[in-house]
Amino acid sequence: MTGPAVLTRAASEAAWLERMRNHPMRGLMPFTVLMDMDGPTTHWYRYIVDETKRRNPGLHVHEPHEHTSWKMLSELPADEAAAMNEVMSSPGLYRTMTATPGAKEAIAGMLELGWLVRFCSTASLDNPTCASDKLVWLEEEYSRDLAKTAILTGDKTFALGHVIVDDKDKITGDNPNPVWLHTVFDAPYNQGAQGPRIAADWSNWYEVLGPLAEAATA
Amino acid sequence: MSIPFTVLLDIDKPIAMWEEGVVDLAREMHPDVEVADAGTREVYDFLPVTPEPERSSLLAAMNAPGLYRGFQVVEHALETIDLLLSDGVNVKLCSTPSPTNPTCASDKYWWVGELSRELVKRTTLTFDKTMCMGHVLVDDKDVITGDNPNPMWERIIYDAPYNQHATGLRLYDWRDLPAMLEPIRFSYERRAA
Repeated sequence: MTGPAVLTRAASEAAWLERMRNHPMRGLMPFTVLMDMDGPTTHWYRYIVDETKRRNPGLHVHEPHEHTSWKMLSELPADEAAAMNEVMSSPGLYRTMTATPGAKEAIAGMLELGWLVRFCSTASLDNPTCASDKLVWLEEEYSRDLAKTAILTGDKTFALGHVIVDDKDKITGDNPNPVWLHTVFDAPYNQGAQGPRIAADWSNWYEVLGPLAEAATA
Repeated sequence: MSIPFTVLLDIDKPIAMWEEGVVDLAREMHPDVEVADAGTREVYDFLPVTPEPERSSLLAAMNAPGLYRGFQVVEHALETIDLLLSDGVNVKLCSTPSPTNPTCASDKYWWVGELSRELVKRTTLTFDKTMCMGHVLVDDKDVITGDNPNPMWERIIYDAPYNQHATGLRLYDWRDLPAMLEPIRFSYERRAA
């Protein structure tokens, strides 16, 4: 079993590099990383769980690592789901998120290499201040210049970039052929997702993205 | 599988009566200040060429929380969007949020949501439209630049006094858009087939 699995992995890696070499933005733009916010940039799951616990002291709230499906609310008991839902729709929530450990350093490293980092995030339509709060958060955590790179969209398949770092298991939309390569930000609920995988503490970001950047721009 | 024929529509000016809303609010906030009518500004980035105290009054209105919830809708915009959607065009709204108005981004989603739940799902807020894929972009800005020097879309200029020098296809009335898109769509779909 080990042989074929290794071969498959090698074949996948070769295909990823080939995609970068044939990318339509090759020669036009620096290596461009579309950076999902909730998960890779903000410690969203941890924050929601902690905030739900804080507001509901007697309630059992599952830990982030116990969720193995993207659609977390559907797998929770009704009272826990309602409590989390209330937290998620609270005005101001997205302004006070904590940062994902290692994200800031990784993003600084990418910028230092001359890569473009473009935050690419879906604003929750159930939270009335989410979109503006996400921009405020980026400005306070990073800078206005970087906040002004944000793309807030319900359909990431229409955004241009070489890669997208995202914790969603499968990114779908109206475009069946996005130009980016989905680089999976590791989480319990995306273990079945295909693609290069970045560790949840960002420790291997260069190991994963470096060769792709080289193939995209060499 | 190819990308469905996709039309990106700017919001402020083509769909939302932005300048009228800003002027009305500036007059309401500063009744003693003389503020020129909407439609009389001949420069896209008009603040630097606007004298005081009109400039400060307009700036205060532009940064007022809630401004982006109150705009009127441009005549024939919604019926044309509905027509395009029913004709299988993948319509996406593509708009830049104000970096200085604290509630602009959320208010834009709210405003579009009031028009249509379908459209709010089709809305992208971005500071760089060159990074968005689409076959056509309808926009009133005179020049659209960004990180991508070779945007995928073909530009249709939404006519305004401040974009008269911009060259290319020009839309004067929403009702003309379907016919204007037809040859572009035909050419794309023939290539994609």
